[in-house]
Amino acid sequence: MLVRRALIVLFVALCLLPSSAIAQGDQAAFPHASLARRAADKHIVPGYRKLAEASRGLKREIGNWCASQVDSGNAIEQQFEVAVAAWGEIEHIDFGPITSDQLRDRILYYPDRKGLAQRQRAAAITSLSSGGPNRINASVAFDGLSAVDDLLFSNGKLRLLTLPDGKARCGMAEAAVTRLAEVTEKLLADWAATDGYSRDWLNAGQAGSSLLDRRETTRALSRSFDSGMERLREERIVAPLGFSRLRTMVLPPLAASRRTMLLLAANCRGLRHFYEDGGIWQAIDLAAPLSRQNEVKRQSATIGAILSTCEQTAKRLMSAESPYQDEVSRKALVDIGFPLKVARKRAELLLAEFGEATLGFNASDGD
Amino acid sequence: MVIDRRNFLAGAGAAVMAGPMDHPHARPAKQTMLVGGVCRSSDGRYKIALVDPYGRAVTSVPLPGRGHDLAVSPTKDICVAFARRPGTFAVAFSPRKDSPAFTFTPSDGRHFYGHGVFSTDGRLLFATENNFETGTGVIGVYDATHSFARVGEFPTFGTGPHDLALLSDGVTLAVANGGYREHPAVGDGRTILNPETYQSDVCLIDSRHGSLIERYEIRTRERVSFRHLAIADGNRIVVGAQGLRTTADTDLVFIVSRGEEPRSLSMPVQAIPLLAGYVSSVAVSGDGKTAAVTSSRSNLVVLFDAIRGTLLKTSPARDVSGVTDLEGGNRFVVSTGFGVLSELGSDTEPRTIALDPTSSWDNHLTSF
Repeated sequence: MLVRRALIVLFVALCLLPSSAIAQGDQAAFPHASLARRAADKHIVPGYRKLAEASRGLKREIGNWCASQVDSGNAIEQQFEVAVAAWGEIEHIDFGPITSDQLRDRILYYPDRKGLAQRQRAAAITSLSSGGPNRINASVAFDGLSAVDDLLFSNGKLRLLTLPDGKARCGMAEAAVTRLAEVTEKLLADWAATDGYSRDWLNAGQAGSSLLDRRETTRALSRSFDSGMERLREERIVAPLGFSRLRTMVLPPLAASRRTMLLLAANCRGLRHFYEDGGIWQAIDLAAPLSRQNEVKRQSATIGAILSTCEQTAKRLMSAESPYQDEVSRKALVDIGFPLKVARKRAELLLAEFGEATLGFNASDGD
Repeated sequence: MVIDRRNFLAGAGAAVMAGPMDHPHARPAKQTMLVGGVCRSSDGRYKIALVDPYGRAVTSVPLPGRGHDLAVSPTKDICVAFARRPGTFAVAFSPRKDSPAFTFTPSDGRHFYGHGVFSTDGRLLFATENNFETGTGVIGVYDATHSFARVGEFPTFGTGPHDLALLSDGVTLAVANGGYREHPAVGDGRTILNPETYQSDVCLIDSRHGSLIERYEIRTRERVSFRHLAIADGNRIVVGAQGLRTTADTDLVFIVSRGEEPRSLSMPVQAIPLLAGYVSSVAVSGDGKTAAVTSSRSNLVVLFDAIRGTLLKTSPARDVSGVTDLEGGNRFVVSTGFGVLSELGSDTEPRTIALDPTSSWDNHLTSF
């Protein structure tokens, strides 16, 4: 309780802190270009490559399963987990090709607040199973991991293919993963090819790049980290616990397969990797004056430690049947919620002070 | 449910009866002052929040999406919240909650830019809009006495108009043409289609027949987009700009006055980079003599003499954006994305008047 109180006091103090953007003395120039390159080479491209490979694997396994008509889907469950983890680790990237054509929703559509996507899928299954018209359309309801979760899983287990609607579900899931494989392949190509988005990314501020200012890459990375931290806490923990302002319980992501905690663990792991190996930590460290480097290292280590605890908590809760319902699991999730908020604030302050990347509702998206 | 528009528009009728006001800064006496702006709640929904000068919540009005700024009728009986670009909703409501809120939209082929202003008699509402097929800016004209029916439009004589204000003659509109060409079908509708060639200016337009009175093209070291403005004493127009690619010495704050060459705010060289190429909002004090600009990207409020154009004070505030004048002298209220409302003046230190970490105040703040 004391720790929690201390964290609350710290958080309010961080909210009220005036900016320290004025006059940094011996502060070094922030290495925008090298951070952009390191983030692409060490985090973004490997992340999208892993996702593309996992999606191809899932497409293969679902194809085999549907063709064999045998109710043994261990390989699918494993490959589904690989794909969910791969997406969870790179989900926070919210700039570049992922922002076009609703790609994010086409990989994981969440939250489905009013259950519209679920209803669309249910109507399409009923229609297909009874020989009615094909109701599958271009809606995100029929795409990606959320569609596979709902179509193939129930109560944490694979549905039986031999049930009357098995064939319809299989066909729809196959189509969904086929599109998922295409989408993730395109994402990878856009980042990995020398004439794709990476050309603009690595040449920000230079003639011909759509990124007009060299600082835009750091702003994009900072915003991604920040919004990833916000999504992790608000959408993956607070809302399903029923602690959002509306006090309504929101269905967690991937609820049918009960892979929510797997996704949560991957989110925490991905954000930590992004911060530590994607270059954010190193860039802040380079820009900080000598007199502040110990403090900066300590702050960054705390951010990493909080994300690590988050991942461990989620992993521990993977075996829980209803982690948002049973008291022990709820307490574990509540306990990680506030430290995540503090970690987000600390990163935000470091990036504002040393990275010329002020974050905030207005600073990140003003008009 | 059928909305009783007659009831709602009773306030507009009262505005007509009240007649023109002498000065845009004048306020009717014996009304509790309100401060309002768009707020994002922690659940991601948007609303208009109205508070009193002590930061106490008075009322709130839900919005269908992200809003931008408020226009307030001269009698303070009607407020209109506009969607931010490229949104197409405007929500009219009574701040006293004595009639239901009412939503209206621009005509096909137009979207709002987030700003509007009432005519001095309260009968008409002028809103900056994008004719996105031609890429030209227009002022949409709405009849506040007839359910905000769109009764016409006239050009802004530029592209991407953003903020606008009425000069004290009650006739002349000052419009900041930001210069950015955008189309709602391209990207998220906010993609700038002419980043290397855009032309920004400030135009004075006769609101009676939409004719151009004067155009000010302000030369700057790097290309900037004039976006927000406020009217100071003597009809000086204080203009805040943003740049896509700015250098440390790019001017971002200007004073435009008829018959004079536009001039930039005199800031010490070391202070200019602090604006980080981005001015979020502009306001002028009740006496029209002090101006305030905010920069969310540099976490800074800058106060300056609106007559001389000289710097008075800078004050840090994290993710600060909204700013509006407070009754009495040169005091202002500023808002932040971290849910903080603070009061400050050129001779007073910032004082937090409200904090709600679960809400984020959006771009602008209005007092009335």
